[in-house]
Amino acid sequence: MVGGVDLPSHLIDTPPGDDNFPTDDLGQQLYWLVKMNPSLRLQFRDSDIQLMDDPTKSKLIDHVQYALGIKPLKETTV
Amino acid sequence: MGLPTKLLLTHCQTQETVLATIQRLDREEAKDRIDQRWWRDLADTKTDPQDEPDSHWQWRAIDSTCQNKPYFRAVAAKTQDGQIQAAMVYRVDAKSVLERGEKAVYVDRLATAPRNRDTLMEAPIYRGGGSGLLVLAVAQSYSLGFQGRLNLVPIANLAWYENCGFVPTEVETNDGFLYELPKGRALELLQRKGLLDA
Repeated sequence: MVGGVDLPSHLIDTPPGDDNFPTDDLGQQLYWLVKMNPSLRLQFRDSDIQLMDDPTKSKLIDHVQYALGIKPLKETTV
Repeated sequence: MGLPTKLLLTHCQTQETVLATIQRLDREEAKDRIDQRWWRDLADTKTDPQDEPDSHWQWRAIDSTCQNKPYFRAVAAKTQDGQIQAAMVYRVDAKSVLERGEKAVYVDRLATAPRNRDTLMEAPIYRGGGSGLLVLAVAQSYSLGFQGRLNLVPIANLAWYENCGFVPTEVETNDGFLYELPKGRALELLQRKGLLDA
């Protein structure tokens, strides 16, 4: 069991926030990838992600992960 | 392929494998399926359920605090009967302790349904819910480029986390030391689970 312990502030590295972040799974994954990997040098507005359809989000996630050297996961069941 | 969406549970008495879905935890389900369900009608317990460290947690309120935070997510493992077998909250904006300058996912909360706890119940129902969600968190970390690094503060079963490969760090909180799963062990775990090639 894990829980209820606030992460010490010196261990938090929150990027500058946006008020209008995506909340769907694919949109959030893409948002996190871009925010957490500033070396990508991509410029997105939240509205850019939210205007994409799911296949476009999936394809862009694949491209971003490839650029970062992240291999695709092979299973969806753990 | 995206993040895991299903996990395998083992029925403790029959040893049959049961498939559960991993889904976002919404507030109504947190209230109906956890807060109003988990702690009721627990028969044949080994210890007093009120002694469990999470017996006072209100998952609906916990879930509400995640709603407007861009880097938090609450998830649950749900069986076909609609019951939630385990739940977890994690955040993706944490720093690694073991490797300065690197990022990690932090598991804010993780709990299995009381009916599934072998330390609490004489006859637990399922096993594998909590550990399955933990693998999801490692996969989430990997998928964001953090190499699977995962931080958490265990409040029970510390030996279990050490057996999983977590290492205690020097960071001490009010509830104990922060543990981290280093990237090497995280990648081994993902390979062992078949999510990555060896």
